[in-house]
Amino acid sequence: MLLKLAWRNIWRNKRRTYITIASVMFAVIFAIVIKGLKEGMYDRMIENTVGNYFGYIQIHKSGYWDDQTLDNSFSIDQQFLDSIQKLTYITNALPRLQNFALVSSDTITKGAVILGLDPEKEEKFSSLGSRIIEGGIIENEELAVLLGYKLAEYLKLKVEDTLIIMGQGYHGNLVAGSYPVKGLLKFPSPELNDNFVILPFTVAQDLMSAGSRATNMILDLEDHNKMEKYTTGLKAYLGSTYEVMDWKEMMPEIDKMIEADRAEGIILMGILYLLVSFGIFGTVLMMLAERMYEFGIMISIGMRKYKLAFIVWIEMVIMTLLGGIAGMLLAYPLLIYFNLRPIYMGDDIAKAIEEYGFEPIMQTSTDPGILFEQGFIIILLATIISIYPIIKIKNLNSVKAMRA
Amino acid sequence: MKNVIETKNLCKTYEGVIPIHAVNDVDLQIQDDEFTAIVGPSGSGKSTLLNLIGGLDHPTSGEVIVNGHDLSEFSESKLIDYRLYHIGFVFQAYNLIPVLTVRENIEFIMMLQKRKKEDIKNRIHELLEEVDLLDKINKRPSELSGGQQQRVAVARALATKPEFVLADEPTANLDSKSASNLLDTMERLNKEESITFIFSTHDQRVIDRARRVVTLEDGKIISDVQK
Ligand SMILES: Nc1ncnc2c1ncn2[C@@H]1O[C@H](COP(=O)(O)OP(=O)(O)OP(=O)(O)O)[C@@H](O)[C@H]1O
Ligand SMILES: [Mg+2]
Repeated sequence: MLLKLAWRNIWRNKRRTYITIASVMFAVIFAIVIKGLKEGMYDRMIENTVGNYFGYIQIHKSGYWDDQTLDNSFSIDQQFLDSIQKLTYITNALPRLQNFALVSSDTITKGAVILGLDPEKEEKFSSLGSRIIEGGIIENEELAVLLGYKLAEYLKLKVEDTLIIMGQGYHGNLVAGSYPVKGLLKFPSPELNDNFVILPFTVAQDLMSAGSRATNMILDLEDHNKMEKYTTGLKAYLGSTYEVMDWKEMMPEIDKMIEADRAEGIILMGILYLLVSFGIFGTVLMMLAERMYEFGIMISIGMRKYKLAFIVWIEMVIMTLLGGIAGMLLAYPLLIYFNLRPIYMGDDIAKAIEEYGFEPIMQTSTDPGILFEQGFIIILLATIISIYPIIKIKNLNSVKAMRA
Repeated sequence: MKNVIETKNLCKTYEGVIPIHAVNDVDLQIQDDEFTAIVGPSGSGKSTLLNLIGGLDHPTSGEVIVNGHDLSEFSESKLIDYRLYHIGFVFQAYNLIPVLTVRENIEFIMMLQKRKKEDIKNRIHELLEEVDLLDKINKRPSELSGGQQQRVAVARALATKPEFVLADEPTANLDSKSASNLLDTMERLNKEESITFIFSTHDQRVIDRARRVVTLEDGKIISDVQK
């Protein structure tokens, strides 16, 4: 009966109700699309840096992250590999050997990052092959390198030209080698395009006279959302000889940036909902003024105030939720659409964005959590707006209400 | 006969630059089955007196004793229950909840009382028959005339089988035909269901129908006539 009463009350003033529903609906659509774009941007950012390159978790020798030299590498013998293999939540473990060196063509020399990796495993992990824009992929043990395309441009090297690498290997040995360029790579992250030379893991070990050593072990996980839990587990499992870091530890600036951006989003959304709330509050005031006499009658004949307050609250919840659900139903297809068809930004903007190390692509996240979050906010909003009428009802004096 | 309602030295003063003694030292006894009019000019304190008796308002001093209970000893929530189970109210106008039909308006108060479904259904039919509005059972208040609305309000007031019904100027907004129609209904229910009616009015034709007339002036009883 109370619900029936609430439902009918909502439709007493149809126009007012439609306006309220519409304002909530537009706010929700706006909030969801913005949130979807932002979350989508974060997802891509994490996917590009983490999923395609850094991995969610890395294992190093203790101290490597602060002092990234070959001397801080660790030996990956069978025993170590076995112990990692036992952990079923690790779907893929990729050894890498990374070092700095000078690279040169005939005429130009530049400092670069030399990265030895297992081409087959990397293919599975991040489809390295799909990054190649010219030439072909390297194979295990093949004496050839892949170059970031910007680096190649800088060095004026083309596919099949020869690259010379010179530097310090393990224990400070001077090392040098020359390799044909097999392919050029284009990553979403400009840093990699500018600085990276990739060669097969074993070839890199030989070049750096590093034996069976690796600097990093990249781990791919069954469930990315459980990363933090796995990290803690691994730390205990491997002990203090090794350093286990997840991407948030390795790249706190990305994590911080996302959090800061999220906070900004929350403020933006707060302002949006505040505006909508004022609109709704106005209609609530009108509604109260119109119904005071009626409330007075209801309380006079023996209705308890909390039941009346409940009706008013339910009215607010139903009304805002109708708007909310309508908004969700309209916004979710948009999220899906822009997820399947990301927006590619115009050239000028794209360049500017790339400068900052981002991809010039806007792709929405389709995480249904975004919708539930809005649903929750709306019910909260309705409740907050209801506080005023509820207080009014609590203090209502039926004699006075009926005299007015 | 026993007193259903008794007031002792009942006073209600509204503070202000000049304090208004809306009800001033009223001693009144109302007995079972009375059909009593409270009359007096506008501002004489009729509504205030009825509100005090109905537990809608608190006296400044004095007592309202209903069936031996002093209302001033009731908590706010007990007063609400008290009104729900023991008193029927009819107000001047707009008594009904506009979004509910005639049936639902009566059903509503009976559900607040947690009466059984079967009970509710039967009682609604019985009451609407008595106020002669069975054919309007599914209409909204806005589809009824003022007189019909007031008769539904009377039906609703009786739904709870109260000890007495308080009606504050129930005919004020009605034409004389509807007014006399409403009075007929109230009179019949007073006899058939033996329910005490106390109503305020300043309409002479309504006063003529009462069996007892209590006249107020400036918050005091100036005459009390039994017919
Ligand atoms: N809440 C209030 N505040 C101040 N004065 C009030 C209040 N309620 C009633 N009064 C005053 O108390 C006096 C009695 O009012 P009441 O409404 O009881 O009269 P009444 O006999 O019902 O009049 P009417 O025939 O116009 O309905 C009036 O002078 C009125 O102005
Ligand atoms: Mg009055």
